[in-house]
Amino acid sequence: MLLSCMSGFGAVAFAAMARGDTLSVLAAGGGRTPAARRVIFLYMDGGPSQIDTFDPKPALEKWDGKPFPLPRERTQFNMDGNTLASPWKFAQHGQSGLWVSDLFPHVATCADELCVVRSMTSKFSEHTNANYFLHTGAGFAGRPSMGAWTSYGLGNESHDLPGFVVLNGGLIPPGGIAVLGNGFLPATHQASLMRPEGEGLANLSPPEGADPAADARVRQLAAQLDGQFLARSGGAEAVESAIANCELAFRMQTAVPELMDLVGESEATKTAYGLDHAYEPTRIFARQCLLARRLAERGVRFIELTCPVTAGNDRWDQHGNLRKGHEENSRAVDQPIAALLKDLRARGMLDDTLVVWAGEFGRTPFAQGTDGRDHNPFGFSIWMAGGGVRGGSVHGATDDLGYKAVDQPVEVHDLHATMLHLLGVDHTQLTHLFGGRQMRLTDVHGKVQHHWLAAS
Amino acid sequence: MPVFVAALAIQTGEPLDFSRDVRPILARHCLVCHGPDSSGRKSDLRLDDPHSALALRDDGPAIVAGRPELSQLIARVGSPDPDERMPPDDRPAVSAAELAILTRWIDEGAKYGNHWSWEPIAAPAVPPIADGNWCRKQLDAFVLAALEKRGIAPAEEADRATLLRRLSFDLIGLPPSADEVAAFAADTRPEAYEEAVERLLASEHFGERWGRHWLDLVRYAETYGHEFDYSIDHAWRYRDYVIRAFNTDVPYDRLVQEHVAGDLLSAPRIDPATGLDESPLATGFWCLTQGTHGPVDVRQDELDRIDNQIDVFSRAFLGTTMACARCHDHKFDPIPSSDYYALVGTLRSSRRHMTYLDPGGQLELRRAEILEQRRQLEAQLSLDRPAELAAPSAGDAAIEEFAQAIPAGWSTTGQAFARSASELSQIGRAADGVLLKSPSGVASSESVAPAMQGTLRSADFRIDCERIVIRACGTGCRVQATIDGYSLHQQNPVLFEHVFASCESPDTWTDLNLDVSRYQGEQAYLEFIDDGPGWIMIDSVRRETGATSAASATGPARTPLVELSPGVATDLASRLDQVVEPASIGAPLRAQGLLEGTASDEPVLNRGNHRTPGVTTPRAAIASVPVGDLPTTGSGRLALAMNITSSASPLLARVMANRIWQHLIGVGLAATSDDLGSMGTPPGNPALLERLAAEFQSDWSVKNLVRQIVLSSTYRMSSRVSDPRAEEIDPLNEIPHRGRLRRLDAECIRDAILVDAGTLDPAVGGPPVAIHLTDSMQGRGRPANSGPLDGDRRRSIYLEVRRNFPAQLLAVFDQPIPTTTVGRRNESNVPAQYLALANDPFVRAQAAAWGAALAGDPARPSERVGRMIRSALSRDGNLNERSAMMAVLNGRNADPAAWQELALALFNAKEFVLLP
Repeated sequence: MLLSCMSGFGAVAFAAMARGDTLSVLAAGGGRTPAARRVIFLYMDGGPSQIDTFDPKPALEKWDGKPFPLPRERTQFNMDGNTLASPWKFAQHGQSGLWVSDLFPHVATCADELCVVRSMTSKFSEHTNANYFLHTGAGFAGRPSMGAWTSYGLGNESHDLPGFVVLNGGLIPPGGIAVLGNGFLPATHQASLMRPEGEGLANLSPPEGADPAADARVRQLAAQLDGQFLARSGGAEAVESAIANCELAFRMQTAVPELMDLVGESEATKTAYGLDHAYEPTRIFARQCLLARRLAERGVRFIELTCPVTAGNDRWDQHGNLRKGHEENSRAVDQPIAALLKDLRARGMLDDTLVVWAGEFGRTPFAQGTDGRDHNPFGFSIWMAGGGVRGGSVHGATDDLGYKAVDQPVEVHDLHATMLHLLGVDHTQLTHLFGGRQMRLTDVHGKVQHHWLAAS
Repeated sequence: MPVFVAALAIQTGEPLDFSRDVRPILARHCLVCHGPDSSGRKSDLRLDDPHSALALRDDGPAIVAGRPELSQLIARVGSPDPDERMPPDDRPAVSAAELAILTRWIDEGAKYGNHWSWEPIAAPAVPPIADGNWCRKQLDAFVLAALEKRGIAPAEEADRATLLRRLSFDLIGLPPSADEVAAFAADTRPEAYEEAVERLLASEHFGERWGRHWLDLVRYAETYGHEFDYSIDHAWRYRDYVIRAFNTDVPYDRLVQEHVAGDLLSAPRIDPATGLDESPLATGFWCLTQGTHGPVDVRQDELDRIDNQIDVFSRAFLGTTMACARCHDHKFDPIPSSDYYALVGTLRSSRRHMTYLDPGGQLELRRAEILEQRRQLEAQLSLDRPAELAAPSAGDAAIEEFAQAIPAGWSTTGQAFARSASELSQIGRAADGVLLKSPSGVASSESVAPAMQGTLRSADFRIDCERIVIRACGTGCRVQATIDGYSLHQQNPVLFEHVFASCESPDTWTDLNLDVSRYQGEQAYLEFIDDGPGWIMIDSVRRETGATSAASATGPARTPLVELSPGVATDLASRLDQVVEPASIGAPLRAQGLLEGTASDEPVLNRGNHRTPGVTTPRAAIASVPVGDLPTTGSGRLALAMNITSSASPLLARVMANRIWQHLIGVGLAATSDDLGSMGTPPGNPALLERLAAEFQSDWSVKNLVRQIVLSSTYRMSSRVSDPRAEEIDPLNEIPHRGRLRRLDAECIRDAILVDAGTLDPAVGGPPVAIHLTDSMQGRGRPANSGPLDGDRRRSIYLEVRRNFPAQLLAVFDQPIPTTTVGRRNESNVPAQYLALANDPFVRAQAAAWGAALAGDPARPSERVGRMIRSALSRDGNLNERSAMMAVLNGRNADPAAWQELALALFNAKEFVLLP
């Protein structure tokens, strides 16, 4: 009882009150039933190109190799070349006729699940600022990541796993773990970084060579000392909850290996995700996606996946060698993502699991040098699936050359507001007093994009 | 929470206080639309200003003093009609208790007052109390009076073992040793406690503990974070400065003056041990910002960094949230945007700089000797100034020429550069040993000695050209343009190679080209850096646009002294070599710091956007917060330093006294210790805070205030909950009525493990220990090599603070990632902490070290067990505990593994990390 209480919002609110902080009361959606109970965030580190993935621009063919005809903003490297058409073909998919490029043949088979936003914008052209911005709503380190806010706002449904888990494929985003941090929120809400292999969590079990019998004696002795201490402290609440969390830690030592053990998964499932794929990065991301589903099943509130390393490419950040880099990055994530969507759908979980696919910005429709693209925060594509969004739909548009959002431009704050809305949370009410302000994930911005939502 | 505070006032029947009881309610519910920010104000009504609130309006005054039933405020807030009711639905609703307070306040006459923390410090008289025996210190009377008024008694005193442990962690951040515990238990004299206090106050570890608290305020870090986590070179010099300052109990007003403007204070503060002037080191705190890798909008990036500087400055020193006034006037406190941009002006008029420090003035002394000896040598030559080498005029395009060696507005630091034309040498040495005539009309670091280090800087200028071309000669030196204060060029050669250049042309003039075409209209300055062993001469600085002009820069800079006979020349050359012998010249200490730049005022930026500037505001002149009124000179930092520390400013003392209380009692008298503004929590025992602030302001001694508090009866109360009625009346323990059970800070936990294991290296100060890297610490900027697992067994304050690679064990126990001021850490309780204590390789290794030491200890096992408990828990174990440990030992008396089990169990005991 104490555990479920202490890990949820109630406990946070209570702890904050007990400390004398002011805390807004969270109006959980104003009585509305939330569409989504959890989020799986597929973080495409480095900035995939919109015009090569989900935003086809036939006009680029005409200008290919010619000077870019629109006025250009300053770019990160200022090595702007000529217009560069997409090396990939686009086709329409599903009943919705959604356009997807050849980079995502598997995801294309889920076209009718996708809600594509082609008019996302960011305020920053630099990876790190843009990473912080996408994750925390501010361009510098120090604010809580969206997973921390979600855990803070909704609490944790799992009794033996943390509420915000990052499945680290190998690439910690530029900006470091502060991108995934709890900022000024209590540490309960910080991301637990799990590797998809091995035992997953740091310090989960004793170092190699430790004697289990000795560890059991240690634990028992510590528990005896704790019992004495609790009595002497007059049953102090802080002592009691420390003991409870210590017990939770011990339970995690069982729960995490059980999570990581895929023995119970069918061969068909494993193959579908790509666990036996010829390409190693695909195998890694496949494992991440499958673990994401297993975490979702266990009630973890916010699950974020970072990309695996693909040899010779710097994430999705193709300043040069666009063809190789984007092909290998999409190869790593395409099949596992499609399998995840289908698996969640088959298990009846997609409706209450919001899946989000996004990078920190897009890329320029003109070349950097001859075969790369520079950063472009002025208009790029993200997509969502499940969790109450309208499948098979496209929202907003960039200009004819895919450079800047011109129709229904939206910003990261709007994405955050809509994600929280789908989780049943009013983004203006999810606040924490810090530095003299009621801080929000959406700062003073954010508009819920109702047209992204499925009719309910 | 305001409601509880008001409840305390209601309990005692005192009249409500606007600033403490009412303003927080208005701030929370009303002031966004009816407060100080004119831009968002609705219905032209301002509820925090009596002139507006009491004015007659169409539907009657918002407030009628003494008549709540006629006041629209009460009618609208209490209205059952959702269209009428205030605040609107999208704002947090006013609770019934809050409405009752508003009503009572109007009933009592709607008396306004300044915000409590901005009022002068009152120094209240010691209140009368019934039970004089309980009080040891004056502050106790303030606590007891508040308790007696509510009919509750203070908690009993904690037992002596608990007190010693509490005292030791609070003062030096380390547990008492087993021997100290035993000695203290045996010494029952009443003075024993006082003596322990004095011993700990005098300990050199005091500065480490209290310095670490301070480092949280200034977001101390040794890297810039962001994409590549570049190092902030020499940052640790500032950390050691802080430790020394707390150890020597530098008066707090002086400490803050040094932070704001230590480079500008007229009187140095010399460290007797090293002869170093400490003051300029403090300005390093301004430089501990994050640093963007390759900002596309350099101006915006500068403003973001300055925003962080203002946030830290205003919250750390003044408990005021000035950064809230960046985009608009402050919503809750009467701080206009112009105050924010007054600080922006000050900071844009200052420059970051790698300071050259000269302990004991040794380098200056040596420099004077060299110049004098060179003059004597030159006197023998009776050379004329070599007019034929004077530079061709660069004409209109010149930014500067160097007739007087240092042009107006330029400045130099360090010892390398000639400071006036009269310091320019006439002779120098070529690489092949030939004696040369030096030109005049240049800026030069050739004139003292190649080994001397220094930097020459230009005044600020606005970029209105494509290139800056510098005619120079020299070797081993570089020039860089700093644009909008951006200074990570060296770490970022890919993105910034065009704005810095190396000078490698010792024989002939050369043109150094800086391409600034990207930065039209931006503010910039040039730096010529000679960090030894080279030298540089600068003849002219020109601006160029369009086609590159013909190289102006050919020909020798220095000519052989042909008129000398070979014998004389050789003799002179060797004597000159002796004069400038590198081995005789020490290196300066380098540290992060601030310097005066070119003074200028900044415009208020509409919505914080630099593309929409508004009216210009005078730098450094803060109009809202109460401060002194010294006029601005230069950047304004000196006036700012003096004004915020003047007796006219009540905030400095109040904020720090509250912080000191927080560190010793567990929570500040005002709980939000970084914000004593109207969004902060007002003090639960305001008279006590006033008293402490007044005492602190009288001598500015941190140690004295710490001493007062730890000697008090209040500090010594037990944390045990014993009186349910007291919990009901004072639920947040604000008065306080008992002690507060706390979790140890991250650093205390790690340090205590080292103390118990007997492995701690207690050395104070020095360069940081490289961070230990684990597999889960990945990402850009990851250091090539891991530091040692045991951190060289140094105290945690000496572990390298890498923003993107924080020490895992410390992070899990809430050491903040340093981004901005954190005066009060989270005190979380999460499973990962127990996984770390159980399984972290560091903890295990230290348990093994302790186990090995115990296994070889000749004392009886039961004695060893007793000492373990004394060491880990600072008390004698009881029979149950000792026999439980003996049972685990189970006769394995010489087995290190067995003792390791006991050690690990003690590290995992909750009592190890919780301080009752």
